Amino acid sequence: MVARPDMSVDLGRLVLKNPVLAASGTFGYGQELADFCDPALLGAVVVKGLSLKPWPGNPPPRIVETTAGMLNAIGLQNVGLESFLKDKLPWLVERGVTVVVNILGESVKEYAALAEGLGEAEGVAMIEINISCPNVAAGGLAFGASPEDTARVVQAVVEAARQPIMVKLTPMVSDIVTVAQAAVEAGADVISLINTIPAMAVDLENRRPALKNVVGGLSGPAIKPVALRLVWQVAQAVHVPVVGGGGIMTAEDALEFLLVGARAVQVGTASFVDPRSPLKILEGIEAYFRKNNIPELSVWAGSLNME
Amino acid sequence: MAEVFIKVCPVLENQRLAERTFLMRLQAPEIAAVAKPGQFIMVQTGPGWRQGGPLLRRPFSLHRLGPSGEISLLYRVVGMGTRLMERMDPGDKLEVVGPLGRGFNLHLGDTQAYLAAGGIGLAPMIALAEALTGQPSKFFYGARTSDEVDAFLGLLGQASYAGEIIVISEDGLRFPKGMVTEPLAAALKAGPASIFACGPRPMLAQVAVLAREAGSPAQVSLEAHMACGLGACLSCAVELASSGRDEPVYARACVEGPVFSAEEVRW
Ligand SMILES: Cc1cc2nc3c(=O)[nH]c(=O)nc-3n(C[C@H](O)[C@H](O)[C@H](O)COP(=O)(O)OP(=O)(O)OC[C@H]3O[C@@H](n4cnc5c(N)ncnc54)[C@H](O)[C@@H]3O)c2cc1C
Ligand SMILES: Cc1cc2nc3c(=O)[nH]c(=O)nc-3n(C[C@H](O)[C@H](O)[C@H](O)COP(=O)(O)O)c2cc1C
Ligand code: FES
Repeated sequence: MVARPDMSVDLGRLVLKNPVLAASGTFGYGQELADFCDPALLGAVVVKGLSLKPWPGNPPPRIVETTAGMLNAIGLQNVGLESFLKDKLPWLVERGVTVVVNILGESVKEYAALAEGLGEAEGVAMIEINISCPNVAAGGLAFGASPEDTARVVQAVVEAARQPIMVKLTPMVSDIVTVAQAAVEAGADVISLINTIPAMAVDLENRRPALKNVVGGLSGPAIKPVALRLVWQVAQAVHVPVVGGGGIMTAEDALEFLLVGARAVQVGTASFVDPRSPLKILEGIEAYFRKNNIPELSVWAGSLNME
Repeated sequence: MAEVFIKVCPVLENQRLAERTFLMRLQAPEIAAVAKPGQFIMVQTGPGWRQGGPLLRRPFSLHRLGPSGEISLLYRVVGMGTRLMERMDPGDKLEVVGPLGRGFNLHLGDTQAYLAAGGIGLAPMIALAEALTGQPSKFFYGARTSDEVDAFLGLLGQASYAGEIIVISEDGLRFPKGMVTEPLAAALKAGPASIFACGPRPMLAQVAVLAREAGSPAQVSLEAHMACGLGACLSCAVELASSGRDEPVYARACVEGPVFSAEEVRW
């Protein structure tokens, strides 16, 4: 038995103490769930997607439960850069949290301005670019929908930022590998995936869409098989570290993502079901390694047996 | 931050009171010790999604904060989660998170308290009625059926509520026919009061209008679809009256609510 497996993981320029991250939008700004899950114990906390100016978000209802999952149309409500730096970041820094800031904008310029603003801040370990955001100039299509748009955003952020860059891919593309490769060529240090999958639910009784926004993002256990496949494909195709997620509810789920090539994982919807989830998953991975004599994470990651 | 617990709670009783309406008593001493009227808990209603149950917990108001470390819920069966709750028996266990949210503000000065409940909106009002003992008050309750009114009178009897009780039902079978806002409006004609209300949104919107006309403060308990109950997901948005024309401002019902002052809310 291994007494204390080495859980540390390097994501390019950044070394994390362990591979479990709280996914953006599911862990607030770190404080909300802290009574149950000390954010400082996690590999990192990816905070709620941040825009330059505060975004109000969508009218309710914003969520609905579906079979083994949920749909959300929060509408990227967030406090904006200025308030984040003043009101949210200091608490995280004081607590010793490894902070990853998820950024979003409607133009390349906005992404770059955010990266610049965050570059000056102490305590932002990494920037995660959410490219599922509507590209207003391109008529509302997501940046992440094409390799060219992805590359433009990533390049602009890489130039403006001081921190390492993680690019979060959307599953809504015909060939995710080319988008991932475009992100890497443009300078991404890390690739993360997947974001939610656009979907819909109907309220039969009222003959209405269940969400006011009609369409929302599907997350939770229902998307895990899709996410696993995409993580597996991307991990084989790029030479930078991949962070996988989508429907991770247990340590076993996380171990599967690591096996198919993820170097770390993001836990999302599970935190709503039980705010202790990220820590429980971390402890579960550690216990599994101890039991199975796996001395360090790197031995396990990417060791899928294809025979 | 206020104390919040995650506890596996034994069911002490799960009793049918009226059509699709149940009262569940849970052993939850930690929660009962600190909870306030108007707060709620998130309930894992069944065996979890792996067994085909719901993924997310469901929010329920604290109906009574009880003697000897109990809490109780008054709930209506509407979908999968509540259908699973309906099947629970004494001895079964439920995992809950709470107490959550901002409850009612009980500092009223010397005004009369008017409590107005519509349908299952009764749930948080009994704990409130108990907490307001000693305060002159009137309790307005509107139900769809007279059977529900009977059940309500039973609940209030147990809660040893001393104030005046005014009931009204939509079926008009054994009680006066109408909506709860009608007797409330009539009472407010006599002078202002501190209003507390919980019920369907159209009822609460009407209460907000009545309160404004009467120059009375009103606190309303709102429902919103919730995923986390803890302020992290931003799903439980309630639009505030301070919103601009094209820049809405939202509050989280789970943290800034579920009790809001009626004038804070954009109806
Ligand atoms: C603060 C608060 C307190 C509440 N207190 C009570 C109470 O004391 N008694 C009672 O009977 N009901 C109460 N409700 C409503 C109750 O939460 C819903 O009836 C319940 O979630 C329905 O779950 P279901 O699985 O049976 O229905 P489903 O239709 O299967 O629910 C599907 C999804 O929609 C959400 N949902 C559906 N209706 C509502 C709703 N009205 N409010 C919030 N979420 C909803 C559920 O959380 C779930 O995610 C309260 C709601 C809130 C927000
Ligand atoms: C309510 C909610 C809000 C989210 N907000 C964001 C966000 O702001 N930025 C982002 O990149 N992803 C966001 N996501 C996506 C998650 O970070 C995650 O990628 C996705 O939910 C899949 O993982 P899961 O199945 O473990 O939840 C959000 C997801 C949910 C459920
Ligand atoms: S339910 Fe998650 S923020 Fe209110």
